Amino acid sequence: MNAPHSHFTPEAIDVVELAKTVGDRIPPLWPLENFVAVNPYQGLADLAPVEAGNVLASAVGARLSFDRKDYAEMLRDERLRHGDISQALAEMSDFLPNPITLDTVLKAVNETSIQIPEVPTVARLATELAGRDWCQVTQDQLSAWAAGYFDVGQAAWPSPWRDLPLFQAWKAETAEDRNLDILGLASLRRDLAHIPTDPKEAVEQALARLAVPENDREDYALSLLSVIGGWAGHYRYLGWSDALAGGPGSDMLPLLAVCLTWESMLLEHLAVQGLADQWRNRWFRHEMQGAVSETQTNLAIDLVLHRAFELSWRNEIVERLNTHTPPVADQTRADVQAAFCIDVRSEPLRRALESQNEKIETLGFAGFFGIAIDYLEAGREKAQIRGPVLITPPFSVEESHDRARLRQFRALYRKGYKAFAQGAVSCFGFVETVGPTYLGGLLTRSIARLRGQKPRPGGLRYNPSETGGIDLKTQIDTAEAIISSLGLRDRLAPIVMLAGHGSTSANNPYASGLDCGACGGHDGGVNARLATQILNDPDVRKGLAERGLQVPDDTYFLPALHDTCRDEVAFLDQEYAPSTHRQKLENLRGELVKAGLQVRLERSARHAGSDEADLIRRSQDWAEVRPEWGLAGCSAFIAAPRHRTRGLDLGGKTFLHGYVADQDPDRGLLNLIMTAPLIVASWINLQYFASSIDPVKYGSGNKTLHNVVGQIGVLEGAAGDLRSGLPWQSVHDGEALAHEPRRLTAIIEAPRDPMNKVIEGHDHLRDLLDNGWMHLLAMDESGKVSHRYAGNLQWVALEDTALTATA
Amino acid sequence: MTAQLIWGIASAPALFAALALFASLQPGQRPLALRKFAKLVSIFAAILGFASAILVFAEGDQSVSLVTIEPLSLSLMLDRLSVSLAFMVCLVGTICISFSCRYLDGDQDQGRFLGWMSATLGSVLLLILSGSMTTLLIGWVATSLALHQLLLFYRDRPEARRVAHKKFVFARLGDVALGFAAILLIWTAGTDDISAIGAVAADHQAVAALAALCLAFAALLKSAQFPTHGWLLEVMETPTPVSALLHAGIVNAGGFLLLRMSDVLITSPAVLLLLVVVGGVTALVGTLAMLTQTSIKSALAWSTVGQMGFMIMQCGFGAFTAALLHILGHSAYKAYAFLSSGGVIDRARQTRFIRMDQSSGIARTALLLTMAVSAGAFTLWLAGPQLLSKAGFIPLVAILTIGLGHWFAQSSVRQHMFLALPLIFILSIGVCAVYLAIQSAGLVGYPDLAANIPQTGTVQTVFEMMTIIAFFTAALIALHISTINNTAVGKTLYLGLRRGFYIGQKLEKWLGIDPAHKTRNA
Repeated sequence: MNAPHSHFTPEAIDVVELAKTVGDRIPPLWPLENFVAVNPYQGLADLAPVEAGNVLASAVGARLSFDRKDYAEMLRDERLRHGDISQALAEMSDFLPNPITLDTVLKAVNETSIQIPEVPTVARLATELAGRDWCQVTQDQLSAWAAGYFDVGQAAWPSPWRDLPLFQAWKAETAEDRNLDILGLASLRRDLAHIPTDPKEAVEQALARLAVPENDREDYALSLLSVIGGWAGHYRYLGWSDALAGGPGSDMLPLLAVCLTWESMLLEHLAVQGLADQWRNRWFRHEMQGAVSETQTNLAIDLVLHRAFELSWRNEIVERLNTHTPPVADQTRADVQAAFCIDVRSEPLRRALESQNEKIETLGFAGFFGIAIDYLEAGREKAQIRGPVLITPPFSVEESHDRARLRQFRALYRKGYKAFAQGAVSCFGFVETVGPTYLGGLLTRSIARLRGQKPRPGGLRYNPSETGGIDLKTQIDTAEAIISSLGLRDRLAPIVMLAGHGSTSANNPYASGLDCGACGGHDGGVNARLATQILNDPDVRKGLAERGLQVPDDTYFLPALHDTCRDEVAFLDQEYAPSTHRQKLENLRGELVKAGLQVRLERSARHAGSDEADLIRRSQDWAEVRPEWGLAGCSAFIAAPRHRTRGLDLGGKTFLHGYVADQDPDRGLLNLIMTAPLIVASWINLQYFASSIDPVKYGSGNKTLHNVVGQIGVLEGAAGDLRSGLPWQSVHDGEALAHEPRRLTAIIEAPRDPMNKVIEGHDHLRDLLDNGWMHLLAMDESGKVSHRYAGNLQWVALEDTALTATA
Repeated sequence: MTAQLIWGIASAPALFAALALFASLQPGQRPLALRKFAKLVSIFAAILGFASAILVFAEGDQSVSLVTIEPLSLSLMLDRLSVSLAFMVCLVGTICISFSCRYLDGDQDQGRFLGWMSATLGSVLLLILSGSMTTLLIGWVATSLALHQLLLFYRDRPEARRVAHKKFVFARLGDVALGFAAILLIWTAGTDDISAIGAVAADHQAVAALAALCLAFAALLKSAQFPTHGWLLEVMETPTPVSALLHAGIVNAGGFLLLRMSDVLITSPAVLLLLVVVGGVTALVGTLAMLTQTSIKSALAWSTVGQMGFMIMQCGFGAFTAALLHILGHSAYKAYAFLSSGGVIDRARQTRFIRMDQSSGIARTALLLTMAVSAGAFTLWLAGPQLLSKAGFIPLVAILTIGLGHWFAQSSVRQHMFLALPLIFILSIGVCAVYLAIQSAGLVGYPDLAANIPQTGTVQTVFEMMTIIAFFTAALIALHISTINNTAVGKTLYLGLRRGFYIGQKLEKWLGIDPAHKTRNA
């Protein structure tokens, strides 16, 4: 055991701070059971584009743009014009390290981009020197341990060290792992005993041994964690959800200790010629390379090109909005008001439904309808969050217990069956007695494509009890908030449908990713039912009347669920529907069926060789890898009254939130929209952006190779890191990208000053906007998109010339 | 009609070969004509397989001779063994092909994939239907070569190349062993006709024993027996339907070889005992290692290793019909398990309603185990002495009942013991009765194989007893995982099992396929 290097002073390194900074850069990764979209660049939102691009390239090995040749091709096909590039240069001028001209960009587009050097690590250096892939070994070794430590139910024989604190568990398991002996690292294994058990001390010791220059420590630590970035994301998720539930959360220190200890021990124990000598030189070289301004300019050109690609599309949609003549607004009472989630998949259905009948009005609202809950299913032990993952649900709701025993019995039967099938000794008898019956399963699933049965939900118990619930006053508050947010205070129709959404697919590990993100990766049925039950409650309505909000007696709030794969809308809680509305509901049902057919016809054009009936098949075929496109294509967010966009085909790529500035004098709703749905939309958009522009780092790879690990996420193949992001098949149809990576363009019809106030008061929103992770445009009261937010609370009028150039 | 049917099934391998050739015309993305054609051909083959199975069971064995150059010949043999397996392979193949048509939609090389899948299916059918050693050898090697192309489907993945290479090395070792056995047998019998060889094997004890050893070696390599199992665990670098086909159709080839050559095999009791030992150890390691795996496909792969071990052990006991039934049941189960592996999250969601206590008291375990075993013994006694006298059946029933007892002990039978115990007793008898009914049907249905089941000798009885004890120990280990996890030995055992006792890695290092020696982006 060597003594720490002499220049090491423990006070010099605040490792807790280091772990926090680096930990914040790692995006949390939700498990597949409730897979919700997360902005992979969340931790980099505070960085300006070139800076962020630098960190991503050097520490994570990720990129923010296509290859240069892709842009060259776009220029040839005129999908990208010189005007777009000039516009991008003008927009980004503040971010560029030095002035760049259009000619420079046009010349550079035909050259290959200069690679930004990755942060040196011992594993990388050893790979280079020894010709043996120590990066891969590191990833496999650490991932294999993490899979055992984090597993939530795959292994019937769990890891004996899973109850220990993370760093201690790793140390103990690795000290036993003879695989290291085969790798020639037996001495490393034995030496682990001398490593401190406290992760803080271990990090200090490792950093001292590695002697990484102080300025580079953050990038270095991030680079190490990125090797097992998926598992690091899962660990961050555990801390995140613990903190949401009121727990202490957790920091990245223990996992950082694992990565750093492993590296420092590789440096010490790898028998690679010249490793130690080269290690220090390598850092010197890295710092020299990083300072070269040519590399920075080069990166800036990549970013400008990509921004130009985004602008070519943005100019198009602005042009379409500005030239669109909305139909004359109908002032008479509508027959039906149908509210859908702002999800981009609602847009085609809303358009189709409106085209059925002029007396149907559609509205856009966050799919949890403003009620985030902890929902305890009957018979289950643990409640699930049915609300956005950014907030702690304020209420607890239970499903009534009449199905609990049956469900538990079924679960018991399933578990027992599984124990027979996968028991250590019973599995042999199982194969010989029950095995042949699987022929039936093989045949039926290949031929009949049976639909998975979702459990029929029971009643909702939300009235106050010991376990939570919602008191009457809160119910009235909630009801008022929903009606006001929908902008319906004085014009409620006889039927107000609140439609949540979910998706049906078979044999799909990513199924929950197609459900409603605002409901925490579940379908929105429970939230829709709860909202409507409250809104239909006579006591609540009495309370509302006292506050001057008169709900007409003939208004019925109808809960519904939109199946986005099949584009079918099911009415929920039908037993509560008033008999007086029977005919109206039947009419609506018929119109929804017709609208659904129309949407399927439209959507089938996005799938190669598909037709309307094929989309239904996709929802139940166990071999299907693209049940639906999900939110692929999402590029714009529009908050404006519906008549601004009514009649406009937005192709299922736009989030539509209803907003009437006149009805929001205190700007409470504007504040809500910009700080909640807009941020969620941006997160979803950036998830798609990352998975399509950098599928290796931020995508989960090829679905046909997926291997579900620990019942948490997927591996691609037999080993490697836990994969994050979306599968390749979810963003690409084999011939072209189904999601063209463009950062979100938000268009809000509101005065600019109040928007500035919101931006000023919300740091994360401001970071996202000021650093170009999303773009904001203002629509004026005449419905023209007039200004763009230029960062730092400044607005710039959109030049007409730029728009006409692309028209 | 009979003649046409025979030629029909005999042409099945050629049909798939033609399909593979057709695929080479449409090797790329969305090969629409090929997809239609592939589905039609494979469904047609499955129907042919079914019809010929009925024919053979009704009218007796058939054979087709294609080419003869003394002493070598190309010929097919349609007996109950071959048509049963051929039908199963056609069925699983049809399902895998139809699955792949959808699953690989949009893939750059879907045509190539379907082509090699057809080629693999054709080769497996040739192997199964072969009537001569020459045909068998051709089918054996062709299967492995066609599969190699499927394993390398994503050839830009370094892991895929590494694993395919590893499999390639083991497969060639197996080829050499089989080739040597074939030469020995052809040289001794003067013909390569398998039935003729079987008929004279007993007259040439020494040569037959040597050939049996070679055959056993080839089978152990093909069926991923410990310690050469490593490749099977890692071949997940290729689309799921390949895993389904491999685990349900191809890995059985080792077992099939032993069944096909059972006439030769039974000439050497020593080789049989070797199979018992290797198969038994593989079964136990496989099944315990399965419990420790954290990913669904690894767990399924270890489960296959274990099941193949069990099947080889059955062959070693001479319980050939039981081994055949095991292959059939396992094929259906494992194909389904792989193809539906994407649904594991859904299934986990459905069982999260309750928590089950894993540990259970020694006394209760003992009670439940005893009860299940006595139920088995009772059923066996009811079934009569005919089954009891058959070699291998006592340990097989014992293992079934130990499994049942383990299952009961593991399940949360906690309350209402007075009600539960009789129910369990009846359930045990029920399962044992189903098992024995299936086994009896096997004995009646496959008289050729049943005829080769040896009578139990003293040495064999000792091995049978040792096997029972070993499986009983495994059940005890699996029942006390949480206790074991707290001990130092238990921790070592856990990691060892999870990593397959490192033997795979060591063997690979020794063979020059170093696990660490992989180059990124090479």
